[in-house]
Formats: sequence, C-alpha cells, structure tokens
Amino acid sequence: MTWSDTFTLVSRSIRRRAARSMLTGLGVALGSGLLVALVTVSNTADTNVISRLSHGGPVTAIKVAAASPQPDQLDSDSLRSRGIHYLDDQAVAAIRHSRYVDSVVPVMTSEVLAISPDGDQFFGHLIGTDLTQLSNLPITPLAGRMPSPNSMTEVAVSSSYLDHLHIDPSRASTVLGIQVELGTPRRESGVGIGFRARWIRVTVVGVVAQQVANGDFMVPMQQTELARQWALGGEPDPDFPLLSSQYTGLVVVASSLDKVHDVRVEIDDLGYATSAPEHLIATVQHYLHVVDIVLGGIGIVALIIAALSIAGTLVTAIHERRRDIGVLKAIGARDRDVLRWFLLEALVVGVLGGVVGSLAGVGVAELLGLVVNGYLIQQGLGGVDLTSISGIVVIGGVMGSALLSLMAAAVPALIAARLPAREAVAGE
Amino acid sequence: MMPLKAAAGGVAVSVRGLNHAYRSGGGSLTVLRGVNLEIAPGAYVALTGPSGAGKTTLLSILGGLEPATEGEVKVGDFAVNQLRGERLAKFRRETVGFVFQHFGLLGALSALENVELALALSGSGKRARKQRAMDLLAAVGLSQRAHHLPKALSGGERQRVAMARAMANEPRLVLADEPTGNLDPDAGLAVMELLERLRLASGSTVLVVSHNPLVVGRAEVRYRLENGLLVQPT
Repeated sequence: MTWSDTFTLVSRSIRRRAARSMLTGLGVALGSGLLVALVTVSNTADTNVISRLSHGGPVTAIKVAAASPQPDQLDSDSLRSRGIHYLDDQAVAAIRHSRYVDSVVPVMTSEVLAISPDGDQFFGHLIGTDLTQLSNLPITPLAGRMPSPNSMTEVAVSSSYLDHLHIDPSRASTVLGIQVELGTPRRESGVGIGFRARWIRVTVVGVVAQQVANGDFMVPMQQTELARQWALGGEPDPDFPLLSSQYTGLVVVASSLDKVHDVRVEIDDLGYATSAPEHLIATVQHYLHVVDIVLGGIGIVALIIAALSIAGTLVTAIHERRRDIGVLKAIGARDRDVLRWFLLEALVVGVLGGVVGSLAGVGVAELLGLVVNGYLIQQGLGGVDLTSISGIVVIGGVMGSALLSLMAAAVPALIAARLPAREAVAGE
Repeated sequence: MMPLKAAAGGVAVSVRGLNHAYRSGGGSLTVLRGVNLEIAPGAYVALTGPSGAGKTTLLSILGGLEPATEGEVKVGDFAVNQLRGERLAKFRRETVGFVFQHFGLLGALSALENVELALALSGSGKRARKQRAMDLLAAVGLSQRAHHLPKALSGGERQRVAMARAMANEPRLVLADEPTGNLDPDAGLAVMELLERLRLASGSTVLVVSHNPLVVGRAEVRYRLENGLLVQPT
C-alpha cells in the first residue's frame, strides 16, 4: 500500500471519528500552544530585559575612559578611575587586537555654550563619535534621525538637553528642526572678558537616549575634533583644565556576554578604567534562567499530557478497530501497512494540533505581552516588548508536535501492526 | 450486471493430519482433531456443523489467518503452515478471497474504496484499480452505490460489496464464512446465487462455511465437522 493510499485511509478514518480526532488534536494544540507561548515570552523576556540593562546598545558593550583603573576596578560594573591615562590610536589598536573584541568606537567630548532660539543658554557637551557605527553604540532613537555621518550642521540631542529645556521625553519630537547656536570657549587674555568662542549653528534632526558619554549633542567626530583644536589653541585656564588626550573614551564591543569580563581584564592590563553592566547582567540572567526552567517545566508537563492523550486515543482506536485490522491483513496487508496507518494518523492529528496550537500560542504570547507591558507602563517602569515572534519557535512548535505524536503513537501502532489476522473472524 | 473477466481457475486444497488447539486458562482447548481434507480445483464445497465445531478455525487455517498447531495444509503449491511475513501476506492477497459473515467492510471507506483497497494492497495503479473496482461493483449490481458508505447500504448490498472485494485480485480460492448469516432469506439467496455466478465466471475453488441447509444444499460437495472431527462427504 502506498503512502498516498495510506493517507486516504487516514483521512477517512479521521473524518469518521471527527469528534474524537478533534479532541485529541486539541490536546496536542493545548500542549504545543502553551509551550510556544512560554518559549516566546521567555525568549523575548530574556533578550529584551537584558537589552534594557544595556540601554539599547549591544549587551556586550564596555565603556573605556581616558583614565587609569583603581585596583578593584574589575570587581565593579561602574567606572573606578585614578588619574588621567591618555587614549590614542595606539591604545585603540591594542584593544582591537584582542580576539574577543568585535569593535572599538572612539568617543570625544567637548564643552560648549548652547543658546536655543528662545534665548535659553547653558553649558553642555558635544559628543563626537563615528556615526556609521550606530549598531555598536548604546544609543536608542526617540524621535527623528541621527545626523549624517559627515554633516557639520546637524545634531541629535540627548535626553539631558530635553531636561535643560524642561521638555517631557514623550514630546521629544517638538525639538526637531530647531536651530541651536553652539560656542566653544577658549581663554584669550587680550580680548574683552578674557574669552573668545568659536560659534556654529546646527539643526536638531533627532532625539536619542544614549550612554556613550555625558553630554547633550551627538555629532560626527570631525565636529568635536575642530572644537577641541580651537579650545586647545587658547591659553591655559586653571578653572577649565583641558584634557589633551586624543579620545576621551571608547565604546568596545565584546564578541559575547561571557567574554565581557575577559576583555575588561585585557583593557585593565593596558591601564585603562572601564565600566560595563556585566555583574548586573549576570545576576539578572541567573534569575531569568530560573524563570526559564519553571516555564519549561510547565510546558513539558503540558506536552506529556498531550502525548498521553494521543497514546490513549490510539489505544482506544486499536481496540475499536481490531476487526478492521484483521480484515486488512486477511485481504493482504502487511504489518508495516498497519503500522504506517496508525503512525500517519497520529502524525496528521499531531501536525494539525501543532499548527493550531502554535498559532494560538503566538496569540496568547501577544496578549500576555500587552497585559504585562500595560502593567509596567502603568507602574512607571517603562515597557518591555515581550512578544518578538520567532518563526523558528512556531515551526519548532509544529515539528515538535509532529515528533511527539509519532513518539506517543509508536507503541500503540506496533501493537496494532502485530495483531493477528484471525481478528478478522474473532467472535464469529 | 456486467460479466467478470476469466480468472486463473481454481486451486487444489489438501489437508493432512490437522490438529489445532487454543490455549485456554491454564490448559488447552482442542478444536480440530486429525482433519484430512481433499478439495479438487474449482470445486464448490460446503462445510457445516454445530456452533463451536471448528468450522471457522479450519477456514482461518486454510486462508492463512492463523497457523495450525500441527499438520500439513497445502493450497496449490503453498504449504500454508510454513508461510510467514511477506510471503504469507502475498498468499492472502493473491491466492485467497475472504467473505465474512460480518461483511468486513471498513466503515470509513465507500463501497468503491473498499474494493479498491484490496487492489491497492496488491500494488495496482490508481486508474487501473478504479476501473477494475467499478467493473466488479457493476458485476454485483452496485455501480449506482459505489460512493456510498457501508452504513448507507443494506445487509445484502454490503455482502455483495464484500464479494466484489474478495474477487478483486482474481483469487484461486474463495473462503466464505457464514456469508448469509446476517441476511434475511431473500437477500441470502441472492448472495448465494451471486457467489455461484462469480465462481462459474472465475473458475475459483469455493469453500463455504454455513449451517444454513439451503446454502449447504447448493454445494457440489458437503462436509460436516463435529467436535473437531471431519465427517466424510455426504
């Protein structure tokens, strides 16, 4: 008997016992749906909670300061520095040389006097960096876009700029398009008040939350280089000492979370202070693993129930179809034809249940995500997206259900295949 | 009704020293005792006897549904008692056609699909077997009922479908176990007439188990089983 003939027999058998087949399928759907929902929530919770801890940037980002580390630096996630240690291209090359480092992005800051269109003014900082490497920087866009990588007239302002202007982050887009005057001061004793400034006018094209460095205006590196060259060209000022280091900091991305500590050790050995949320992330990961284990346990129990449901249904079906099996053998069916019949029937029910369950699981995960997110926002904790749907999880749910069905059906199907042909005349 | 195409003809059946027992509780229950039987190719034989005499067991052993405890069973060139696995399945598929008292139709399949199933098991192609199944249903007068499920057919109609299925692979031996047992007299008579007509068309050897005197009386040769012992032909 061909697979096609067996499939016809299976489809007719399922149709004849539609209610029971549907109930069995629902059992599978319940198990696979629960597992898909739990895996979806668990995976996205792991990813997005860790992502929040890294402020939107790579979770393996390490910030390096132009300073020497204290002896206990590696025991702390925070920067623990003692004295200046210049950061230059040689240091960048040495850090980049590490086999566990994916990228090194230099950062340079420069103090500026900012004047907004309505006349508000304050001292802030430019943050210059390589804007072509946004994916390697802890930056989260809130509104608008980032400046073009080589633009000398565009800036993205940070949340601290909004604080200066007393603007709520939810209204961040209101600052887009405004023009700001930025002046870099330097001491010149020969002029009126003893200071001169280099002025530029820039347009705000975006608003970001960022942890690259303390500052208000994100600009391409060339902009801060020009500002610092201007400032360093002035006379020394004991009230505003200038750091003549080539870079004020670096953002180093390690190849994986478990290599963050190794990279920090290497940078520490080079004599630079670092900060990274490695201990915090490790602690949170431990808690998330506990949650994963609990959720996985619930899912496995659901799958076992589904497997028992399939096995129970097939055992009942075999009992009911003893004579049919005998007749099949009497007209020439082999053991493997009967085996195939029952396995394929379980597979079809498993796949159908898996498809329904996986889709329902995604829906449940979406719903859970909305409820949890709503609660977090209501509590002022900031939302976490818990429902990044993974195609692999959905496909895995269907394939897992199919595999589970086959495993659950294996023993009953073997029993059916080995029933003697005399069942065809049993009881007569 | 359409005529059936000629089959390969009947097959000789030879049984010598057949004993058969079932395990029952701690001991065993002997059902057949030293049965010897010779059936000529193309013969129409009836086997009668009281309930529990071993008629169905003898039929099952001849058709390869269960192995005999002891003795020699030959159907044509096949030593039935020594067949196992694929060879036994092939024997049932190609040499024997069964007709059961309970009809033995799969309730989930239509009349046409039930007949097609026997052809599918012997590897017949889809188009050819559909045509053959339709011809067989036409031969038993059920071409208009081909797509009905068994539950939508009368008892007589179901048994005619079962006969069409039994004849699907042109068997050389047809074994019918109480074919009229679940039918009213008129339907029973119609089924027996059909069986005889099919036998004449195919030349198959036919062994009918029945304790219905009207069925037994139509056979060329009659045997009786009593307490597992085969009584000489009457």
